[in-house]
Amino acid sequence: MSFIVGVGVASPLGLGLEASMEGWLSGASGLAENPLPHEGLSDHLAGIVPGFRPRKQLPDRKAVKLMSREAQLLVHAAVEACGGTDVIERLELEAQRVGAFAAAGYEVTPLDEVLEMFRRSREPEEPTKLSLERLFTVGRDGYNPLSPLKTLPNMALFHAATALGLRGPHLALGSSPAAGLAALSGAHDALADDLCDHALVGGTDAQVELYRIHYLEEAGVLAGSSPAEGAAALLLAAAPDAESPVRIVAVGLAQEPPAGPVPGDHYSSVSDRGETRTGLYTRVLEEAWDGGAPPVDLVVADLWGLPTRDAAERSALATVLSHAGTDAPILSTRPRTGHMGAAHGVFDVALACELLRRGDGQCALVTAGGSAGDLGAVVLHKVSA
Amino acid sequence: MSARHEVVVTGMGCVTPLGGDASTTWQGLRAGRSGVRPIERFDASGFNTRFAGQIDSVPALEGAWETARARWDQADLLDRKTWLALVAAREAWEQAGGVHGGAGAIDAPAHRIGLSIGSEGGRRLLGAMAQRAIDSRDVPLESLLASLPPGEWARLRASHPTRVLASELDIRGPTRTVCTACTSSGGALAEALYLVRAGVVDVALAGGTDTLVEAFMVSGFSLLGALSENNEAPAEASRPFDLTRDGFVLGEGAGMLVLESEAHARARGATILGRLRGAGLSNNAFRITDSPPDGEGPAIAMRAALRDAGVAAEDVGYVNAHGTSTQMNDVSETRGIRRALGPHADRIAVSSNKSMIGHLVAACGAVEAITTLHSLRDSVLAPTLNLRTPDPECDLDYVPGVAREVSGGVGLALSNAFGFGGSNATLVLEAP
Repeated sequence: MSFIVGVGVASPLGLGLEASMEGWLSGASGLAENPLPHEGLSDHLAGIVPGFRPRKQLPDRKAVKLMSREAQLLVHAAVEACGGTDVIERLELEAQRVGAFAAAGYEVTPLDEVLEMFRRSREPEEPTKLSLERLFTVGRDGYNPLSPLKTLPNMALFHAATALGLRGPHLALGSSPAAGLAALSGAHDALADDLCDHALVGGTDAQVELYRIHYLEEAGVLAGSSPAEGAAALLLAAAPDAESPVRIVAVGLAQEPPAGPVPGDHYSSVSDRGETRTGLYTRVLEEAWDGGAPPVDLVVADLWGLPTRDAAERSALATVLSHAGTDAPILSTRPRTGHMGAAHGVFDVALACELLRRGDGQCALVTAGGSAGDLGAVVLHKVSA
Repeated sequence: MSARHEVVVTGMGCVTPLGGDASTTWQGLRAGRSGVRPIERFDASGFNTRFAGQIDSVPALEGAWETARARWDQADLLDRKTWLALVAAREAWEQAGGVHGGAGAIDAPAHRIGLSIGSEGGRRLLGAMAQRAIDSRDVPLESLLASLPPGEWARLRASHPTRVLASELDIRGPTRTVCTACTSSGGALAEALYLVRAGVVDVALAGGTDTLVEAFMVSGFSLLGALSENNEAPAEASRPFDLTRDGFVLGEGAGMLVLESEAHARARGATILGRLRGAGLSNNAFRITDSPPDGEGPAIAMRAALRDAGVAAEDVGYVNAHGTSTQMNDVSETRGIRRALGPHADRIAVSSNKSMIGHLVAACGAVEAITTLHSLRDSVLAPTLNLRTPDPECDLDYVPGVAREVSGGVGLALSNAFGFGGSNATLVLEAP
């Protein structure tokens, strides 16, 4: 068992937990016209974190230039979850007993940097064409050698761990909403296995970017959700603090039979009509009940606005909630935040945690799925004071 | 947490610059053979570094495995890292008793099998764009993005090998893709260990794959000043712990292991190839590309691994080092070993496989775990090739030049992996 003792959020609904919750509770949408070229795409909206000024709002201005947008967002959320960068000293923790687990985004170099390098590599005589020779001479001189490091998915976690001085178990996971729950699962297990005393869990992504928008279009995601950016972070502890009465009772992961090699059909081909999801959610809920959790009265679901995927999810939820004898409301965040990619799973957990804290239920099930068929589910329980 | 299961290895497979399977790779390592040679896959003549640990020919698959490979390839969804992963996974899976499409003699239901793969993705997209720009010289740069072929995004993602392996082996338990640069597969093995040990699954396929011997990657790492430029003698370029070392050598490959609870393995009569006793992960929280000079970050991982395995420093007989052949890493690792093992560090042997196969990045942790298990099985330590001029700051026993037979068994072994971004992973391995 582990306890959520800190939450941080940077979402299209607002910068910071309070602003995001205000946005959520007021019924606001975080979506607006996509500022990037979107002609011909299935969706013209995007979710951008409002008021985010990394150089002013992050603790180390010098480090900001070495960070991708994902890293900047994660650092902001992580610092908020930890109540400041002095968490080790303030809570009198051992740095090597505080872990860091996160899911990060699509790992790409900002397009403007790539194009600048390519521009410098043009043939002088034929300026629309690239010269291999120039790419690796003149062109590469125009490219910040540290830029490739921004593209490693563990760099976002590196910056968060370094800003906070965390030296314990460290794991960065690939880019999927379910990867956020895999990170949560890793942290939860590490606490249970006494590998650490506290653990930061994060998810971050910045999909309002040309590379990713093109990918999401090709993959069919934009038919259901708008591209968005965001990050969420949780500070977990093996023991509760007085102010954070939400515990993680059960976490589970599973693999849906992935679609075979079908070009351009990476997200919608759920081949088993929700059977794997049903099995996973049943196992997680049984573990939660064995752990003393009450029936679920809130669900934040893995709904993408894609008919086949959503049908599998709704079918699975209907089966397990019916079996549990509950008609808990099922929330979907994507219509108001957009699709935050690797940030989405942890964001949904953060939202559910805050809703429980504010009295909107006692027990929540949060589910997440990724493009590779990876699935995650977590049960949160608000402990009575 | 429920009962703690002992975790054993029942399958191993790899493809490296020294060979297309685990046995050939191990024979090459113990013979002190180098897999580093001039790059032939693309024109590297204008590069500062013109050699790598290159796989010249990927071993052919057969039967249903080849049908599967061809199916993904025909759908434009097979990239090189996934291909290598498939080759290594086949060897490991079949050695454990599995078959294409299912568990076979491994005898576990699909949802009780986990998958944990170390891989990388994004920089390949950049490389793909550059390659596209090079190959399609008539495409205006402004149209480059839209000109990428369908499937490019999906197949270049870090999670793509995970997806393909889950699909081809029908794995339905917990899956994850670990992306911590050079510690990716070390971290993936650690996560798989925890899953099996906690009883979440009975069996897990875990490992890593990487293929950075590409024009853009070689150029990029060269720009960082991280690569050796010893073009005159590629086989001598990677010389970990040597005073004259001048950077690492990029390599490519994949390594996969089948982990299993000992009870499950024994119940089905599987051959036990070794034990994964423990793992430790840490972060340096130091600098983006630098190793901490005092070695404390790596030391935290090694101490955590020993604690996790429930063993003492004195039980360790060998460290398969990360040993990249960069000035900074090798000193930091040496100091880290000393901090973690104390005076016992002077009584153990340390060697680096990267002196012969180069740095396999996301795959190195898994491949080196496999070679370490071969060392333990044969009581033979692979050498650190090209170590001729000792560095006074690297003052351990590095098994220079030639392999060493160890009478009476090696004892426990640590296998280290450290990465950009300060992530560290240490595994504790034992003979069966």
